[in-house]
Amino acid sequence: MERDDDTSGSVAAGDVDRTAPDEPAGAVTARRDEGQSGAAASEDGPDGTKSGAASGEPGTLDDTEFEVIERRSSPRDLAAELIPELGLIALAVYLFYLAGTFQNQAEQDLLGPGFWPRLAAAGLTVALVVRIVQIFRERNRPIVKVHSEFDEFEEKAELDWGRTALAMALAVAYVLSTMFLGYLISTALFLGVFIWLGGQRNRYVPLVAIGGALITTYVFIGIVFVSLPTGVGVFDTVTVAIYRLLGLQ
Amino acid sequence: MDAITGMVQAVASGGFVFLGLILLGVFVGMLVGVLPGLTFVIGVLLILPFTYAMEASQALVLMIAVYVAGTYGGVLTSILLNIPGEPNDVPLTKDGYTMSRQGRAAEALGWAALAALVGGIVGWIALVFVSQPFAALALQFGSAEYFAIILLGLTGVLALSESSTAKSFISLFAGMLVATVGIDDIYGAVRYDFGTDLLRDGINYLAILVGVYALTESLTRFGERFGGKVAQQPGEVRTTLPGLSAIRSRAGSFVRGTSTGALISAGPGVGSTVGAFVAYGVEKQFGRHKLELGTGSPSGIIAPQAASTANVSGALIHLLVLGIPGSGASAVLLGVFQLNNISPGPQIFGQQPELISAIFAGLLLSVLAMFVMGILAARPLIRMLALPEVYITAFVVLFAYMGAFALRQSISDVWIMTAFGLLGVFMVRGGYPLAPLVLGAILGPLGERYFNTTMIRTGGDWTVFFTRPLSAVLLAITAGTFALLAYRTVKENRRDRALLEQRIAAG
Repeated sequence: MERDDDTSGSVAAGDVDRTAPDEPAGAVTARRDEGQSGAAASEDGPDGTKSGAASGEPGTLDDTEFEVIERRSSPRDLAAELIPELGLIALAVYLFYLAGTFQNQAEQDLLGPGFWPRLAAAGLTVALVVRIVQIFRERNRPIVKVHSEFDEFEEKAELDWGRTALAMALAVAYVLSTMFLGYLISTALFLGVFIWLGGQRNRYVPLVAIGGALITTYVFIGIVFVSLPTGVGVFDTVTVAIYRLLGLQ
Repeated sequence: MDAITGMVQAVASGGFVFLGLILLGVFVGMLVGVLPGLTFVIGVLLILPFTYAMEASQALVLMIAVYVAGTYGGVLTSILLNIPGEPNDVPLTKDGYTMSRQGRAAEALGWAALAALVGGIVGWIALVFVSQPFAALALQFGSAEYFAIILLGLTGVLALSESSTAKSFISLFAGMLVATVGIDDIYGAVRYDFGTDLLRDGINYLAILVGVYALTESLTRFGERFGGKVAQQPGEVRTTLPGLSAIRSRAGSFVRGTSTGALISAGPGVGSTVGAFVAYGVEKQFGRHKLELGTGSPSGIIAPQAASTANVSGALIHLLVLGIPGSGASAVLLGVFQLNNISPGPQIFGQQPELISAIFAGLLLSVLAMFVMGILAARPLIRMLALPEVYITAFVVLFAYMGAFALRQSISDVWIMTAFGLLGVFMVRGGYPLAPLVLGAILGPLGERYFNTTMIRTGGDWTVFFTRPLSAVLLAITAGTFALLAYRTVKENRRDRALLEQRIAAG
């Protein structure tokens, strides 16, 4: 994963016309107008960044609006980038090997059932090796981000990994709980907890949670005819009793 | 004429249920366009579990209505609030919102509605009159040609990806590898089951789709604290249709947008978003009003919107004639065909004429309903933005669960969906595109089947791919696309180097 670090010494070419306040330190946005040439001028910013105008080669980069972002990758950053790729390579090599052991059940004996998986595993390995080479080559090299007129719509809100992990845990817990508590009870609990932790803490939440669980249960069992998990033990008994109340078989 | 008669019969036999499903689908499509965090691909995925009890024609018509209306619903928030409802709305937002700020919101909405109508109807005409002759031609295709088409589709996805080429390849091969899990349908071998029933049954690509699109988005939005632009309720929501003379002066924009959308959808894997961006680019390059673009020009709305809606028909032509999905939403439609044990392809026109007529009629009525609802229901749809996003997200997770569970009434598919939902979060944040993963999982097995069939038929003769004329042409186009991809990468690297050299020169 690429990481944009806050480092000093970022300079952008061309006439500096804006530096967005929410951009990472070390990033300077620049615009080079047609035929622009001139003396370089730079100054140190309060955060250690440099900004300035540079001379360029007229006609080669006309009207290109861009941003140069300095990066310094620590060994830890590098490891964080490499570990998933190396893990995937190990997996791909193992899957390549495993594909050679597939038993052919058909009479045809041309390429066999392992050919296509081997092709995909080999392709994956090669792509991962290329990516690792890129990671090393791009290490400590500034990133050039060329702007487009639609950039404002590509900005993403900042991701809070703690909250994301919480949402992931809720999703996994929901699936797991349906196996034991049944769909109806799990769904009511999931909706309530998810919405509450999502910031809506009002008296309507239990209503939405219980109502949502009951309505979707009725729709999926009574109209779509899906056989939803009813849970085990007492939860199964309670769920089936509620089904009867709802008039469901 | 037969096509028209068939469509009238389809509507008559479907009755009020048919019309009701179209209205429901159009409403849902427009709603997912308006609501934050939802796209029309998620829309068709979320409505999937509701279709299991329906006949194939009803399920398909409902989903097509969601799909086509989804290409339009997002214009409301784009024009009124500067928030693109869908990725394909991004190009029109610039002019649309500028018009809105100039006090011309009603006019902008009118142009968008009209563009969607024109794009939809021209696309529908293309679907009705091109698909059948194309199907007759496609009957001559052998497995070598189909393999070449799939290879072109996979290459096209890579070429259109904005992420790094290496990351796109990783995503694609991972998708292809995942799709090999389970029992191989040619050799009967069990692959990568690791002794578990869960994997022996294979991984349904719909579970992957629901996971990486619906669940990933929900988890990410929760992690982002539902941040982003805050939707304010606009003061007035009104739509004013343009007059005839105004339409005449913008006729070129309609023609360019619609033809770009329809033509670009001929490439497998090219969806509405690419169509809209290309149409905007074409308008900016060749349009009569090109200098106005970006300053509140109706042409900046017409071209991308007409292209987006026209693109739906192109995706349907691919799906119906070749059995190959041309976009994420049409991949879900392919899933509906498969769940009903119907194989789309050239033979379907002869074997299931009633189904084809229902699809044709459903698309036309959906376009008309979208136009009317777009004008009449804009205000209540915008009002839905007042609903806190966490409520919507919670129910998206719920429907994602249901969409996966109902595939085979099995919790295994839910686990698979959840695993891909979690994986999707890391992929998105790591800059790995999701589209190649999904297309690899969908097209990979088709590619394997056609490749192996060709090999078996020819006794392992590889040259058949190059000696059959159409296959050779398609492979040449694929090679050209690869060359283009390599050229683009080299060009971007050179540009970056030049910019950095300037920076160094600046000291």
